[in-house]
Amino acid sequence: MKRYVPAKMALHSIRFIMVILAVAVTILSYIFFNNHNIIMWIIIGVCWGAVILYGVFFIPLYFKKTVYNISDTDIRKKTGMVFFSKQYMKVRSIQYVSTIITPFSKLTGLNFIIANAWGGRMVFCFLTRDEAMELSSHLDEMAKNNS
Amino acid sequence: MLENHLFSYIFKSRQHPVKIFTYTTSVFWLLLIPLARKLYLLRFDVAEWFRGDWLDIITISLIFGFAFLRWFFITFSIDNESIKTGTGYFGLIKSKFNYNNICSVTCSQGPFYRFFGCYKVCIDTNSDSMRGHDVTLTLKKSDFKHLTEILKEKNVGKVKYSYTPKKVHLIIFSFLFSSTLSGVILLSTLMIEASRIIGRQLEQRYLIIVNNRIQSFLTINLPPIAIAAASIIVIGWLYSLAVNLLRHWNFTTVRQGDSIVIRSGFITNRENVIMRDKIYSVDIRQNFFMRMFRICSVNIDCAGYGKGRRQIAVLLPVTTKREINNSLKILLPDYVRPHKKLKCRFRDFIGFTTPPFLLGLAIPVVSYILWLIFPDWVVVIRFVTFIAEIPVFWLIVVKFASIFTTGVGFEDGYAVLNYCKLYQFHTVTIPTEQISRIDYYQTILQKWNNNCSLRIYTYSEKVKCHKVKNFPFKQALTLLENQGYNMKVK
Repeated sequence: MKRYVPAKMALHSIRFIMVILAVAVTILSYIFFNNHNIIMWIIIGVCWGAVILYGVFFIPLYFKKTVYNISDTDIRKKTGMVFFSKQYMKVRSIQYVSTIITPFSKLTGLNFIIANAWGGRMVFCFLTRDEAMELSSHLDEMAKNNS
Repeated sequence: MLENHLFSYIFKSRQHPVKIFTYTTSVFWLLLIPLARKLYLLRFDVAEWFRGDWLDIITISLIFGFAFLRWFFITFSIDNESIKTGTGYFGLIKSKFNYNNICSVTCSQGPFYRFFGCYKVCIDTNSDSMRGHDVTLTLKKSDFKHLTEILKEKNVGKVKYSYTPKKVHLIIFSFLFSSTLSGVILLSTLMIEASRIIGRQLEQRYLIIVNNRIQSFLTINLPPIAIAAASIIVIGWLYSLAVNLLRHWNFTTVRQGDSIVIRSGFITNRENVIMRDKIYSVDIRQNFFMRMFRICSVNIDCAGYGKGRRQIAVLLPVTTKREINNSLKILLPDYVRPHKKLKCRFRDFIGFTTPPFLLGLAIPVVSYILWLIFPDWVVVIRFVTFIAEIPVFWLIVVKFASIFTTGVGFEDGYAVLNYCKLYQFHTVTIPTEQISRIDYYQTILQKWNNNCSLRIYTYSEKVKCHKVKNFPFKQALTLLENQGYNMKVK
C-alpha cells in the first residue's frame, strides 16, 4: 500500500493565485464602481473575505485531510473541507488514465491524475510532479491489464 | 534528444487542419465572405480596407487565432498498443487508451469532411465520460487508415459473417422509430428565429395557408391553433423520418473475429467498430403493431455506440421473429437466450392498467378546471382534451397486452427481462455478472394481492434500471434465492 498526500507547494500556489485574483477584482471594482462606493466596498469585502476564509481555513484543512491510498487491488481516497468523504475504487475497473501536468508544476505542485473507471472517475489533485508521474504510470500499467 | 526538446511539440501528429474551422464557434467563419468581398471591391487596396474594417478584421483574426492555437495544442499518437492524446486547453490533459480497454470506435464522414478527405473518429471505453465520447478527433486519411489497420489487424483472414437488411425493412424501421419531438423542436426553433428577423408575418402566413388548405377538405370546424399544432407535429415527424432513413440507409453489420463492424448512412457515412466482448446487453424492442406483425428491432448496449444526438444503438434494424435467432447466432454466437421462469398472472391486470386509467380520468378533470378559469377557450380545451385522451387510451391497450409478455428468467449465466416501458416492449438479455443490484417493492394494492415488482440495476458505461412489474411475491423471492440473490434481511 502506498500513501500519497497533496503537495504543500500547491497550497502556496493556490493562495498566490487567489491573492492575484483578489487584487484584480479590487482594481476592476475601483475602476467600474468608483461612483457607487457601497457596491465597490461590498465587492472588495466579499472578495477578500473569501480569500482569507479559504486561504487560511478551508483549503489548508482540505490539504491536511486529503489522503490517497493505492494498493494492488484498490484505491482509497479521503477528502473534504467541511464535510469529509471517503471514496473507494477497484483497480480492475480502471479503463484509462488522464494526466494533467501544468507548466512549472515542479514549482507550483499543480498536477492532477484522473483515473477513468467503469461508470465513474477518481481525481488525484495537487501531487508533486514526480509523484504524479509515478502514480500515472502505475495506474496506467494496471489499466493495461483490465479489459 | 529531440523527444524531450520543447520544439519537438511542433512535430507531433495533429488533427486535420479543417478542424480549425469547426473550432471557430458555429459558422462564424462565414463572416470572412463580406470582408473578402469588400477587399475585392476596393481592388485589393489593403490599407484602405484595413482603415475601414479594422475592428472586424481584428475580431475575426482573434477568433481564428484562438481556433488555430486550440488545434495546435491538441495532439495524438497511434502505436501498436495504445492511442495517446493531448486534449483540453494547451493540450494539458494527456490520456492513454489501451486497445484492450476500447469498447467502440465510431468513424463518420459527412460531405464537408469528404471534400477535405478527413474523418471524425470517436473512441469510447467503459468509463462514464461527461463530454459524450471519451475522445473525439478529426483525422487525416493516412492517420485514419493507420488506426483502422491496427484495430482490424487481429481479425485479418478470419471468416466474415454479414447481415444486410432489406430496404423495405429500413423504411419500416425509420417509420417506427422516428421521434416527432426532435422534428418539432427544429421546426419551432426555425419559426421563432424567422419571427425574430422578419416579424410575425411568416407565422401568420403559415397559419393562414395551413388553415385554408385543411378547411378545404375537412367538413368539421377546427380551431386554427389546433390545425397549426397538428401540422407542425406532422412536418416534424416527416423531418425525423427523413433523417432516420438517411442515417440508416445502406445499413450492414459484419462480424469478423472478435469485432463487429456496422456501416450505414447515405449523406454521412458511418462505420462503428464494436468489440464483441464489450457488448453488455441485447435488447429486442417492439411496439404494439410490431408485436402484432411479429417483427422486432434488436439493439445493443456497448459504450459509445448510438451515443450521439438522435442515434439509435441498433444491431438489426427490423427483423422477423422467425429470423431473429439465426441472425443473432451469426452476429453474437456466444449469446444465450434464456426462457422466462417467472410470469405475471392474468388476474393482476389491474396492476398494469390502473396508472394509465387514472391518467385518463385526470385529463377531463384538468380540462374542466381550465374551462372554469378560461371559459372563452372552450373549443381549444375540448379539442386538446380529445387529442390527449387518444395516447392514454392506447397506453391502456398496450399495458393490458403487456400482461402476457412480462416475465423474468435466468439460465447459463444470463438473465432475460421482459417488460413494457411506456409504449415499447423490451426483451433484455444480460449476463448475470452485470447485475449490480436487485430491489423488490410492493405498493398497497400489490401488498393486498401478495404481488411485488422488481427493479434490476445493471452496470456498463452507466447504471441502468429495468423495472419488471407484478409478480407473485413468494415465487419471485424463491427464483431470486435460487440464483443466489438472497433478499431476506435478518
